[in-house]
Amino acid sequence: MELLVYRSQKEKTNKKKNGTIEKPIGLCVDSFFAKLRRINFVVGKSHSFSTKKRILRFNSFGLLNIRPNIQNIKKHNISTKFFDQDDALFGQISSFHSYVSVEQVLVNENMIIIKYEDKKIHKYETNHALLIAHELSSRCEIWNTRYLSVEEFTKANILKLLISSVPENIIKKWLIVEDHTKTKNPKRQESVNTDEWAMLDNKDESEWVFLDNQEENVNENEKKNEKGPQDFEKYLILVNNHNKNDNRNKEKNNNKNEDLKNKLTMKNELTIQKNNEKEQEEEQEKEKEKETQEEKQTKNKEIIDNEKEEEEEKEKEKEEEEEKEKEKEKEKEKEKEEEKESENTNTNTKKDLKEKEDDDDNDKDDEFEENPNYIQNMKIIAFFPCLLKLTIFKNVLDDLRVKLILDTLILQKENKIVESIHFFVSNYYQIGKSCQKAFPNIKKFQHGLRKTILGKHYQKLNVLSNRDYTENKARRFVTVLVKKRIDELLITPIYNQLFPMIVLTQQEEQKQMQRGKKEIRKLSQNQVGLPEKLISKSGWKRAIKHLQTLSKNIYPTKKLEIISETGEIITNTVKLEGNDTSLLNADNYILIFFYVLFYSNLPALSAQLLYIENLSDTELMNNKQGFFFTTISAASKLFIENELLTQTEINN
Amino acid sequence: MKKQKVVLLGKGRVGKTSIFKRFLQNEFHDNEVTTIQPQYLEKQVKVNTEKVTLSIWDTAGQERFRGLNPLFYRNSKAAIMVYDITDQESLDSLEDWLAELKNQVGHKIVLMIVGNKSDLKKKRQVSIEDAENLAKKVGAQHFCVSAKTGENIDEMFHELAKRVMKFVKENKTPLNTTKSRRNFALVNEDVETKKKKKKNNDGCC
Repeated sequence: MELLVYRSQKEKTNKKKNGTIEKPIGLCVDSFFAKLRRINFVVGKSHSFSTKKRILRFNSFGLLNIRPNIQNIKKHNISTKFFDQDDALFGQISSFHSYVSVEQVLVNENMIIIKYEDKKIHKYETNHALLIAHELSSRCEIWNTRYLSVEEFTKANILKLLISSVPENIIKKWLIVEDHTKTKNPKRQESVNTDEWAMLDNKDESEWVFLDNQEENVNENEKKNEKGPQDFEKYLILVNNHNKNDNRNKEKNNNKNEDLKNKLTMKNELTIQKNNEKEQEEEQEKEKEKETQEEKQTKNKEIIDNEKEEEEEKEKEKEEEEEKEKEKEKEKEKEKEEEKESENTNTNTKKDLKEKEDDDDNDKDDEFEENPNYIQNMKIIAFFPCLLKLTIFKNVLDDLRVKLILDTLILQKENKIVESIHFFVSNYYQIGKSCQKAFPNIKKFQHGLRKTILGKHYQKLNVLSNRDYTENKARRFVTVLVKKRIDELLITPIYNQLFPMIVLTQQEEQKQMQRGKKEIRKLSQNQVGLPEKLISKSGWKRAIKHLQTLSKNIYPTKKLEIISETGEIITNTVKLEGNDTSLLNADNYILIFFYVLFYSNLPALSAQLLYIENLSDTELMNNKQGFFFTTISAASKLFIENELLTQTEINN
Repeated sequence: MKKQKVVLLGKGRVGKTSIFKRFLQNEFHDNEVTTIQPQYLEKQVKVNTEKVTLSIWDTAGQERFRGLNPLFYRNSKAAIMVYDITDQESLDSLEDWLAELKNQVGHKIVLMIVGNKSDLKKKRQVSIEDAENLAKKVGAQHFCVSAKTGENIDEMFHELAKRVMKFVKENKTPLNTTKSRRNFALVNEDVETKKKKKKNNDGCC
């Protein structure tokens, strides 16, 4: 498995501040795409690239970057939620400047060291790294990753990969180590003896835990003598090789078992053949005996005198009996031997398991075998014992954590907030008789609710583990979550009453729009008035498809997001298709939006726009999202007023 | 301080987008570009010790989109009215734009009148006096800039940021918050009265 990694801009800017020369950025497009096709994870944020040059250059990669990755992701059954919700999908992914694959991984109780394909090395404190891995990797899958830093997401995915690659027998070793490791981190456990810590520090290199069996044979002396990055390389383990070796071992074991089975079957077959031969011989002998007896009977009369011969015959019979008994004994002995062999084979197959069992004194082996989730959890805990200490909130993701706290604060019984929400929703029929009344009432209530929640409980909500968050960023993060939650709580119950009412008020405009559509019919990009250098080869299909999702969402904030993302897709499409970006001014932008809006064929467009405009946060309306909303509103106005049609007619 | 919305207005081809792009291209280590689109820009400008984030909206200049522009004026704190110094009409048309703007926003807005293409001095048609007179008339500040050379662009935006900051401080009204709180309080009161009524009813029964 390969990971796409790109470093955050912060590192670069810091370097710049320190006076070092900034490295050149950018990759050849061809090599970029070639490499991209074999990458599973894509991580990106445009805001990590603050200078204009980067943005202009890297946005030009745009949308195509994502498609192959999404296909890869689907192949590998990786959650695509992240990619659906993240800015990455809409072209911001293009902003990364370098990426590498993870090549080698080294694990120690104290350190995790990852070597990348470009031979750069990143070191992480195991406990801290695994906390990030545990929290962030799952956060990426579950929740919107808009507020995740690139670095953290990358770390999370690398470490997740690392965790998944650790074999179970090593995990059990880790489990034994668990109590020991609890006292290892002096930062977390101040009461630990400093001498103990110093001892551990000295043992650092010798205590590396190798994931590969081959590495265990490396001389310890060699390890001690070597220092710096060179010795590191020797200790590094190829995760892939490790997996391969694991598979090979398994295959070997399987082969051994198969050989033993084959041998056994061969032996069985031989013994069966022997037995058959003996039986045949016996039968033949019996027949002979019978013949002799008959002959005897016939000859008795003739040869009565020959008593000696009879005695001899008796002796022969006795001898034969004895032989039979001996044969029987031999057969029994053989059977016993076979049984022993079979027992040995069984014991061989069980040896590995027994060895593992010997390592572990716990009685949880059945759980290991039965429940895969338990194994996964134990893997994480084994790697990061501090997780055991964490509370429920710390185990969940940052935003889920905030949401949980928010819900516990809001949705408690006999809580003023929940009661007021309940009261508002239940009395909505009085407040929302008309749009004119409904909109300001809802908005004011939303605003008041938000103020009280953020005013009273902000400190309780600000429990983000993300270290990159500044105060403002954290506040923004929490505020947006609160806004969304309020939207969910308020809008969901009243949407079915509210939206049809808006549609009714917008009937005339909707009719005008329909008329406009009929008159315009099939409109080419030229006819819309777009300059030739801006005409899209794809016909803005991606933007159109994305805008079509507008009617599927009921929350105004989400709708606003979709519109904003559509705008970004348009910009990126222009860059991707190599069109002249200098022509992408406000005038042409409205025309493109008009075209996209026309072909997206949204139901009740004017009602939807009115709904968004009146229920969205005013802050958002002054931001980028607001800008795109205004542009789309302007484009829709062209429909209604039919101005564009008259202009095109004039032009023609 | 919250983001302050600034709109770029003016006749087509006067160089609004060029000014926009020039402001974007000029590097300030202290100033951080947070978001960028070809027609939308968010930039933090440092005024003395304080920082103000300007969200600058480029608007359509073509005559056929004139009717759509008022949509862009909403909630804007400042407007940069751009004219071309080589085109007298562009200055004359500013008065119409101003009227339209004030219809939509009122008088509470920071105004800048900016003559672009100052590098084409030989082709100048608009006298500085005319432009400054107009600026005085509408309470705006006048600047001559060149998007091509970058002349006065940063100074103009810095001055704008300064004026916006002052304007926001002067017009800071906690009306919205109090209103909303009042509204929320009213709802709470309603809840409490409802509760009391319920209790009374329960007592009766």
